[in-house]
Amino acid sequence: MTADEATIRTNSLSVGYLKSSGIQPVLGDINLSASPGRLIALLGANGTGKSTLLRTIAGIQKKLKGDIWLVGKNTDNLSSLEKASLISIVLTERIQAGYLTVGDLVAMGRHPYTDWWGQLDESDRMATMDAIEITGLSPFVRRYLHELSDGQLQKAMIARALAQDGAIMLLDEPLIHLDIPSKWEIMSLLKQMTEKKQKTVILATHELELSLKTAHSIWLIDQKGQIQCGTPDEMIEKGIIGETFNTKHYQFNSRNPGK
Amino acid sequence: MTRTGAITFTVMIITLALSAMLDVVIGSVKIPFAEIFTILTGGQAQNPGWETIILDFRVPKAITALLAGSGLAVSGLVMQTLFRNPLAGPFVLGISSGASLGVASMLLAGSVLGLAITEWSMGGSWSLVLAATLGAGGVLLLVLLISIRVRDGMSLLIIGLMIGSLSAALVSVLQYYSEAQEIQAFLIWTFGNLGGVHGQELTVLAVAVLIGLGGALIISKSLNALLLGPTYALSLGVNIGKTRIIILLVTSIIAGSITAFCGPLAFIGIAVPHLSRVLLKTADHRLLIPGCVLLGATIMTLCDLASQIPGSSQTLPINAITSLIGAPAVIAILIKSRNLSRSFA
Repeated sequence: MTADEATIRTNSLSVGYLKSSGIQPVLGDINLSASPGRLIALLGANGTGKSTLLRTIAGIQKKLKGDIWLVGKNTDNLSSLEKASLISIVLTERIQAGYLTVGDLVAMGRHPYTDWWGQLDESDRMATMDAIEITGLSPFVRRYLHELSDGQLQKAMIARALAQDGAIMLLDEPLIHLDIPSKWEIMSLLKQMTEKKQKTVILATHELELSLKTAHSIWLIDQKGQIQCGTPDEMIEKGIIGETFNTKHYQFNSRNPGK
Repeated sequence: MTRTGAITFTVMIITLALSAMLDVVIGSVKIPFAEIFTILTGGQAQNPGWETIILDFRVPKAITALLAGSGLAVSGLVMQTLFRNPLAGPFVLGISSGASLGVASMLLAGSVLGLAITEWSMGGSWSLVLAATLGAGGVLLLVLLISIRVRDGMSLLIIGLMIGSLSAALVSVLQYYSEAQEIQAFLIWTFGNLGGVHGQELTVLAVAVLIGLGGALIISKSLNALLLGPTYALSLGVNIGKTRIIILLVTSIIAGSITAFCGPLAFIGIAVPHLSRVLLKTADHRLLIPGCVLLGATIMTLCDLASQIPGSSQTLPINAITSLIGAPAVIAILIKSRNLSRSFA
């Protein structure tokens, strides 16, 4: 893969927090790259820095060191509006906005493209309708957000990110609070969307088995704070999954997730 | 806009026109409707005194009510969106207290600092407007600076209330050291008064409120994005810092100028945005801002009408009326929607 094909590339990236007590790095020397049409599951135990990494790539949080390129452009030279047209996010925080319909929410994804008044033009409407259709939300377009189930709300948030139409979509724990069928539904939706729209989709999750079965690639933050990358099969064969997650209470069994 | 939305707006406009008209027609002096029409269209009235009453008192007062109602409602709306809190408004976050402190400092500090304050009449002094605007802006800036560190809406609200209490305490201290006459002037100011703004002052109030309303409309796209919270707004390309500053300016210009000219007017800022959301059934600021303008103006003129005791020349303090109507209205909306945070952005 050449550098130009990569939608995300990081070079000696260091992520963490700037506190009054000084720099508090969470992950260091990160060199990653991701290409279009890939669904990548970012795995790791609690507190290993999955969210911090995603938030830093999305530009919500300042990086400590190194460089990030999005679709061949260094993020240092991008305005927040330019970034918004390349990358969209789905966060864990629950939004509470009464009298906001699913249609309104998804159309908000068009924010980087509309004029000062936020008027949707034909292409904005097409992108909004397309995102609603792919996520299967067409019957709920006029529903208010507080009338949706958790799974439907999560789909609406994904549709909003999709309507933003960047090459990259980052999702922080999109499967949390969902029942098992909804988790599978969202995962297969993400995969289908990734392939059909040729996007790079990265989701931080704790759903180990679901990720191994669905994702194209795994980025795994191991116990040493190193990020291991590979296809699910490679990761299982190399025994990296077991090394990271095995405890005396949990033993990873490669036959269990199956293929 | 949907068809029902268009109908709602039409009803709102008609209601506003009617209540504004009533506000001019009804007063302690009975003037025949035909005469009022003649006066308003530039004709000669039978009684020249009626012309003075209509043109110098009732019309400016009605215009002041329209400006104050619409301005306070919109400033409440943008603050509720910025702080993501259904209770935010020019009052709760201490902005009106800040304006009061500014006015109190000007009116009362004379004796405290041993300065001679020149004669003061209701809303008659430009320095009063400046003092109220600086007070309002100061408190809002403080709340905003704290909001950068404290992201939690509830904590921020409590901090706002504390700042309000702090301002009130400082006002008390100032009052303690002031002359009876100065305290009386300040007390009258706190009752609120829509009837004291004339001529040039009315022009300044109108310009300030219209600038504020225009500012709010210009950032309505960013306000919509802020409904999802600052992180999502940032990811949509919104310049959060700039938007916060514009909201700060809009609110302090609107709330500061209105409080300066009319005194602290409670509840309009909190209640009207909720009413507007419930009636228009939308979260879109491009509709909510005009909705708040119409509803705020209507409610303020109705409050002004209610403050005039029929058959007497007495009027009740407008600030008491807005609370008397506003507090039950907020309770009613709460009971009806059961969950305010739901119907709120």
